[in-house]
Amino acid sequence: MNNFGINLTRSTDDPDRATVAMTIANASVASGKNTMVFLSSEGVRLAIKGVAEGIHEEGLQPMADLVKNYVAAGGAIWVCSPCFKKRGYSESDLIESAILVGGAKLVEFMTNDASGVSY
Amino acid sequence: METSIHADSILDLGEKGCGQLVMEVMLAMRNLAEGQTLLITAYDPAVPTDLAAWCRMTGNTLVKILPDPAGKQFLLRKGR
Repeated sequence: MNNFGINLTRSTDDPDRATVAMTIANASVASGKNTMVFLSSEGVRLAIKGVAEGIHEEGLQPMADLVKNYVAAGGAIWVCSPCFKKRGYSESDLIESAILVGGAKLVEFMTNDASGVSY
Repeated sequence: METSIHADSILDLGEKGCGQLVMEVMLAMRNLAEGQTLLITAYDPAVPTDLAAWCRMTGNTLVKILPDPAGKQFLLRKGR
């Protein structure tokens, strides 16, 4: 089993939880797993340009570093399309490494022998 | 008791742990050839279990934890 999915529903509303999720994402991709972070609900804001740079929970790695290292190591960031649109964002707001996806894409990934965690 | 150990590369991770630790270990191991060794210094209490799991997942070997009471040094050998 090499697929590992992380569902993250938090961002600026809960920097502690969001940072821990991205820390685990770093551990997964650095361990050779095909890793995907699915940003849903408030989590989608992490995929907006400039947002990660504003999150640095005390005692944890800065969010911008976590995202940069995760993407550089091959990690994927998928953004819940309806959650994104509901918040009034457009594709031009997205960081370069993130893509908008719908539920079918998530289901396909998770049913392909994946395991995962949710924050 | 062994007082010194040969390693092809060294990595001091201080108090780093979890995802940050294994990310930096992965990057350091990329610079080594198969069979070469990396000596890691790290103080996070979860490092022994994390490095052992990381090695099992990535085909590398945790050769030894040096006989330090705090378990602060770890010798890894790069696999294929």
